[in-house]
Amino acid sequence: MNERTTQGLCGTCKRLVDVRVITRDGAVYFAKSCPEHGPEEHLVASSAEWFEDALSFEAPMEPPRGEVKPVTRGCPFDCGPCTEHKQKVFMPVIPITSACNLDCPICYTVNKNEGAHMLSRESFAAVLAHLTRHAGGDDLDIINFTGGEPTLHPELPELLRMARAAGYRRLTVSTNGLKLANEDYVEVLAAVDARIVLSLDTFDDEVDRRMLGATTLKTKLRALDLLQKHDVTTTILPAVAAGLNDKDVGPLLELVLSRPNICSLEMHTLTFTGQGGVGFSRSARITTPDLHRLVDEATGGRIAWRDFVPSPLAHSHCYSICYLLVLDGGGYVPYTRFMSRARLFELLGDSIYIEPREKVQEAMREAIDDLWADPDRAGLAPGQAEAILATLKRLLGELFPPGGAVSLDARRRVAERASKAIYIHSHMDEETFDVERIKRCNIGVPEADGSNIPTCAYNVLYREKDQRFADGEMLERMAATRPVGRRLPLVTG
Amino acid sequence: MGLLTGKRVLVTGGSRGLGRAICKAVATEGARAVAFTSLHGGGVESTQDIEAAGAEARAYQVSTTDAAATAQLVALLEKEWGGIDVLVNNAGVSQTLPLALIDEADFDHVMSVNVKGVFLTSKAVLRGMMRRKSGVILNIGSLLGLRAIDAPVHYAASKAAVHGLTLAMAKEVARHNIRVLCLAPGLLEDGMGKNVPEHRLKDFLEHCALGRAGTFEEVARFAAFLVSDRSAYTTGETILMDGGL
Amino acid sequence: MARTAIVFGASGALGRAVAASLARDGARVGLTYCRGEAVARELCATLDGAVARRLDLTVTADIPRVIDELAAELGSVDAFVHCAALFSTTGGPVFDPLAAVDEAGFDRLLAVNVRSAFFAVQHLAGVMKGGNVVLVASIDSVKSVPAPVPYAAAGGALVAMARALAKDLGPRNLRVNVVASGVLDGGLSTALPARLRAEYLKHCGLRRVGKREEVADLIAWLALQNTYVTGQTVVADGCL
Repeated sequence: MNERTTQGLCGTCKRLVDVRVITRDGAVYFAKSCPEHGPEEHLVASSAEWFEDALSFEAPMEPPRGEVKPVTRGCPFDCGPCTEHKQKVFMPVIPITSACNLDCPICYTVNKNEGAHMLSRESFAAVLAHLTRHAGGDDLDIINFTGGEPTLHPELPELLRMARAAGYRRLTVSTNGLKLANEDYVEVLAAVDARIVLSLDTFDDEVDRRMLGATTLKTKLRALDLLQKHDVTTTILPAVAAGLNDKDVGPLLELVLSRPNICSLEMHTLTFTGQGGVGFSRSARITTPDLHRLVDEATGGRIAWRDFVPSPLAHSHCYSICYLLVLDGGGYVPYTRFMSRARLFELLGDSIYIEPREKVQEAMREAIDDLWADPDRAGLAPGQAEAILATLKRLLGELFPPGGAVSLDARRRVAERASKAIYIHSHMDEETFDVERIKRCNIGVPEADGSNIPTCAYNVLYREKDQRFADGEMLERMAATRPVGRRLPLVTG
Repeated sequence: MGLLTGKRVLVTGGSRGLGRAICKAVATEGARAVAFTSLHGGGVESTQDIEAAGAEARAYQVSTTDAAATAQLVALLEKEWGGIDVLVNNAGVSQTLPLALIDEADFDHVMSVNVKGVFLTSKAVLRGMMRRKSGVILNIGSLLGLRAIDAPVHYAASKAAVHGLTLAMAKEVARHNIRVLCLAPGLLEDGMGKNVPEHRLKDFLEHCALGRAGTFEEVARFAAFLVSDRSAYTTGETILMDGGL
Repeated sequence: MARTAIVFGASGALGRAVAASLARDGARVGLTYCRGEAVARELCATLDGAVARRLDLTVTADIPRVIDELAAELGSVDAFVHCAALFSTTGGPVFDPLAAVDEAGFDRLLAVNVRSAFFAVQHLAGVMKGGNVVLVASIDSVKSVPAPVPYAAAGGALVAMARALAKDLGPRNLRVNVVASGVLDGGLSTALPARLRAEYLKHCGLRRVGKREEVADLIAWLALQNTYVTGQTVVADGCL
């Protein structure tokens, strides 16, 4: 078989270099060489089988909307997007402030508290105007507010209201949750229908300190209780590092499954950009198939790696996604046990998170017939087909109750709460950078002038030049300590 | 090569009358195996007709209103035959009663056999058909469900229900390449119309374009054609066979 | 059993499938054509005992003459299938917008699709000794689907005509029915605009167009084997 090649970045100077994708002992590495800094090799996937399987899923892309910049230096140096970019934005990521009330060693961005940048309402309005204009009638599915720490922005609720007024359905806020231990604040956010993406990496205080530089667990658990009390849809987002919190994957999944308002577990493989880039040894690098293995182990095989599929909206290596149907009477079953992986892939084709639209209804309809006609199929435990059918029947009764029409919003809520999802999202750093992936990126940071920079490119190349976010002192520290971490020793084993 | 060569057929109410004629017709068209049910057992003549045509015959005493027994029978046939290709829902009852004398139990009985029995049997057989993505269901309806003719109200209601069931079921299972049809005979000699009083029968024949009642045999022949692959684009329809009434 | 059949419009896409089905079921076919002489010749060459005559269906006076000639060659007439139709008043494979229909076109379409069937059956009533008549239409004659109005009107006329003819001819043991087909894999169906075709497929239970052979087989059964169905319109549309 012909060896795959691509283009990436030198880990030291970030210039564009050719990459050979090599397989060794069942794992995949990027081998590259910089004319100035010499050869390097980095693990990108601990399973070549997954690497190839993901690439076997193909989907058409939609070109970016709005203004596109011409290519001058070549990908990834002309971001805006440039004419080489293949995929439109499916989720705008809005860093609304550079300020943060933590200083996490694992942070994949850079924070700036002195003279902190706070996105003004006017600037946000301009961004929204571009976004809605480019959408041209498409559903405005989702928008993400981040930072720094977005809850430090005094106008966060107002910005959320503005996004809702512009037509965005899902308003997500990526937060460390410290301010959410305050019930009044949770009520404010609940009132504007915010969905919380809570950083929660571990249940171990020691690991908490190492990864976040503080003990945050108790506060976050209190925040979670309040979020549950006010029925705020929540996602748990851990960054996972090998030898640190890989043992927490099982308990984190258990947490997600146990609370009705928590709809998904979103695991980020630790990325060595930003502050995290200088803080951690590369031996902490964990890859998507490692997380599959951890989930499989934690669930006794009830969720296996083939229950995951890529996102059709990005490069196949960026997201690995599993949806679970929550069963009446307890338990869950991955969608892929009652529909094909290709079908699940198809359902993910309109939006990053499955929206309960016509395609999903059809897929469930087909699943009902298939399960009823063939309950003893492989992949299902005895009696599981009946349990799934009973659950779907109950759901139909709630979605379409006899004698009463349920509003579209209410119906959506019922449908959303019927499932849980596991998203594995692996951001790139300069070592794992792959221009084929960046060209297909579907999220990004939109600007008031209508431009949009794909997130990984932003994290690797552009944020440090962005005066609003980059802290001069931090940048000096980062420059002085490449390539190996300095700040905290890493406990291995 | 007959119209139904190699097919495996289940006929409810197949021990006499139209059901028996259908058993014979499908066997004559080359069906490999024909099973039939009846409420009271019997059906020696049907068995003979089937075997004379060279097919395997099986007789079962099962009421279509008995969901468990029906499911059991279907499971048995699925196991021993490998599948059921054609189901003919022929079993049905009527009662010659004016409205004033039809009480709740009468109503429930006729609806139960004629409608619920059709539903239960169809559902039991559809499971395997859906798995195999192939099959045909033929419901025997009646003219009396389609036109305003003197007929017992509950019988007419039940036959009209079968027409509606045919339509909806056909629509739902067409995606699995399964056809569902209804054949609605008019007055048949020796049929349920046997209980029609003389003067009514005479009146009927005067208004029937062909001037005679139909025979079981000719209805059964059309039934055999309709369930064959030659009729593969017809589904969801109720076809009236009434000699031009 | 019945063994001879006359088919009007046998040179058409569906007509030739009907002729083939009839022949396969053992019938000798007498077929008519108007412009499809080459097809008619081919059918005569390939189907056992088939004979053909040219017939312009708008010339009513020719209809009894041609029927008699075919009957003479076949020896009898046990079945008649009317399978000729114009889809458009302008003659081409076009879906007429309402405003584009003129009087002459309207008259011509009705003449071919309906009038010729009427006068054929009128004459055959004296020729056939019992047997079956099958008139061919489309589902727009009985179902609520978008259709060119003159064409749908003609189909509806056939439906009522069959009902009335059944009553009239029943005592002579002549049975008259209509087969109304959905979209097929050839013939007049090709004139359907792509958008309507897509809508049909979306709503058709079997999710496919019909094969001409499938409908031809149904027509052939009703023509040769049927002994008690009469006055009916049998729909073959895959459950629209």
